[in-house]
Amino acid sequence: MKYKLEAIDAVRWRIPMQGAMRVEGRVFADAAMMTSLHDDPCIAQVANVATLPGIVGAALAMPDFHWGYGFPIGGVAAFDPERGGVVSPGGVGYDINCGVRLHTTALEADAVDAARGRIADALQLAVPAGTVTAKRDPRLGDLDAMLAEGARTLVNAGLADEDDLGSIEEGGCLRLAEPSLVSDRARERGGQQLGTLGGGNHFLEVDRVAEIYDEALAERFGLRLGAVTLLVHSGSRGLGHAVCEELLAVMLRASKSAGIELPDKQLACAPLGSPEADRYLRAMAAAANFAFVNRALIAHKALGALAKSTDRSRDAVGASLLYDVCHNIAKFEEHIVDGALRRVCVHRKGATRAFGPGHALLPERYRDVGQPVIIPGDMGRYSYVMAGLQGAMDETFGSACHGAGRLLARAAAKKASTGAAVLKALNAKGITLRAASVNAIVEEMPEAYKDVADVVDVVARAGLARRVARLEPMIVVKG
Amino acid sequence: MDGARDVIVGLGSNIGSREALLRAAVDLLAATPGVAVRARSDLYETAPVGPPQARYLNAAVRLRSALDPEALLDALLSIERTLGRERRVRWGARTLDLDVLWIDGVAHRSPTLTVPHAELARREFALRPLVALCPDARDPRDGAPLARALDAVERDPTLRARPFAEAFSRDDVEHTADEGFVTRAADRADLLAAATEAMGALVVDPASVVALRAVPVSIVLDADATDDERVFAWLSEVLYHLDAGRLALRRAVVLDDGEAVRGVLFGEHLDESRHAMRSALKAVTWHALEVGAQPDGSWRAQVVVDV
Repeated sequence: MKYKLEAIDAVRWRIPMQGAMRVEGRVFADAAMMTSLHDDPCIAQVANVATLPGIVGAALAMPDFHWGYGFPIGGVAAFDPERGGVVSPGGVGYDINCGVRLHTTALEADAVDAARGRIADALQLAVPAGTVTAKRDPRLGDLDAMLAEGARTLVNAGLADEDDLGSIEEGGCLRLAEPSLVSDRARERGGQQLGTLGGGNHFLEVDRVAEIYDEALAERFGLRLGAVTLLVHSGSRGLGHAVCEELLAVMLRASKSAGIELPDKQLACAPLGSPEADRYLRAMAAAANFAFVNRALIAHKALGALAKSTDRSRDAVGASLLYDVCHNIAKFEEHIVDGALRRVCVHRKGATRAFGPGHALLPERYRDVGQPVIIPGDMGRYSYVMAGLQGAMDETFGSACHGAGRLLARAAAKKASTGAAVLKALNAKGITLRAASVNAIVEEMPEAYKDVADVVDVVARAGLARRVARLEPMIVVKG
Repeated sequence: MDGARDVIVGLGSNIGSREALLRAAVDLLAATPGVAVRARSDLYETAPVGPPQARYLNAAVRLRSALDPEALLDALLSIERTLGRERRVRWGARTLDLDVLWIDGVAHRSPTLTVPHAELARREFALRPLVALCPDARDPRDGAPLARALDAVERDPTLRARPFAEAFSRDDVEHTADEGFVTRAADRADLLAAATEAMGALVVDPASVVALRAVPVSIVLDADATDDERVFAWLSEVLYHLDAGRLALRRAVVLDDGEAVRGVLFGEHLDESRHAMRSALKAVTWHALEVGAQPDGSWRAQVVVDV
């Protein structure tokens, strides 16, 4: 089915209610993006989400949205439990709490430049990527504690500061978590992968701050022109994938018994408040906590490698957590819906929370300026740090984009280039790459992605978040 | 190989993923010390001999080997056990038959083995691939050309021949964020094996893997499970074994495709330094999943996997 699309303004598009849609679709994109997307199946995916029971506001798509399974990637939707709202694992994805974490450092870009190869090798050794496993650090304790407490486990083990927790979405712990709902198989898959990056678009990057857009905000965020930052992109590894897979089967049965018509099986869902929904939310929260631990552990190991390979102490590296944010998550948040404050279940699948200034859930250090929003681009260009705005609270349940968004299918990327060519182009730009496979290099080549600057531009023009700084990659480790 | 001779081994299967089983058997023959696989025939689908049962898929391979006939038989029995082991124990039937059909210039008779095969002259499905692989083959006892025996044999009017490809057909699905494949096979059991191999090939190039480890896999399905539910559940189980078991996949066979699906994955422990790594898989998705019989009777599956 071809969906009707109407321009609202230069960066907003409406998919009017048609067919079984319960609310309209709202896409944030500029005209050029929309032209290339017109016949894309992801428009239908936004409309499909709009058919789910109890959806409020609109089915939203961020400017980096693209074809996923079930929900589009870059999709945001909120459901009201008081209006028959649902939770859907398809609105989170298999990589539960895939997200990014950004550390600032006291290092200057020159210091990294001088030891590029050494640092890259050390990072690759410290943080295995691809289809790999790692030995568990005994200081972290058992898996149940990680599943229940999330990032606090690292604080307890002396591997992170108490202070860091405030700079993690939800304090690095979803309290709904129920570890006993995470199966032995999920534990087996994920347990041996803790502290590893994984494959696909996951990465570990050493960047330098290349441009500052807002001096005051940059200073607040600890971003200094020419300084080195560390960016981690990973999630809950096999543990989250297995949790999603197992609960999807439960949700398919629940959808059937609740009589919910599904335009796509991957949208299987259960009414909020039902035992199935509860089970999913609690198991998903446990997997999300595992992801918080994973990202924090990766950062810990990477910062250690950075110190060692630049012949410095950890203190001399001067790392400080700027923010750690989820890209794939569903959780209850309070938002204004139809003029009243409601507790709704917000799904973000390939989208970032971007709370505006003054939000009570932000740590004191950021409360008056808005939440840091980290937008990684492709490995050859740049990433952005933004700050959430009131516009996001008004229009997108406090959300913004999560990255550049894929342009080329993985198979198409492999036809378009070779690993050697991509590597050569990156080298020419002064970027040192370490990858687990040639596949990862080609599939993740910069040309496979939209220019994240365009995506960020739409978010800024729509007033969802404002630009703070631009980061440029120096060293990239890929899965 | 000193004293090496041409040998024709016949292969047959009528339960499970017949084509995948024959292909796995050829793989295991090629890995047998003292044996070199020189050529393989087409696949011949034939009516069963004896009691009523499913149709057979037959083929033959031409080997070069210096093994004596009994040693060769031991090797074949060992391969049969590897590829039908569970079935032999639990269900008593056989998924794979390997026979020494003919050895150039050798007539052999023992309580366990007769060469040329005692039934050879009466079996079109054995003679046809033999003559195709070795047109000048003669009976070592009287020097009579086996091509003449083929002319004289009773014909199976239902016999169908098709190429014995190196692997099942596999095409990429263009999906923006994830990886997918379309694969085809002659029937549903072979489709399960084909989809398994296609998914394994997303992780590691199977050409860089040898079949050293055998991992049994089984699932039980609801009685009313649809074909897409069957493929989804099977591949999800396989993905668990690939990921948690760190298995680089070479081949897969399905021994039983009923209310339970049972099979064996062949491969080796994943080793980044030796295997051509591709993608790390997260999960099989329902998205764009298509499974079914085609108008021509073949089976097709389209699968998208989250990476």
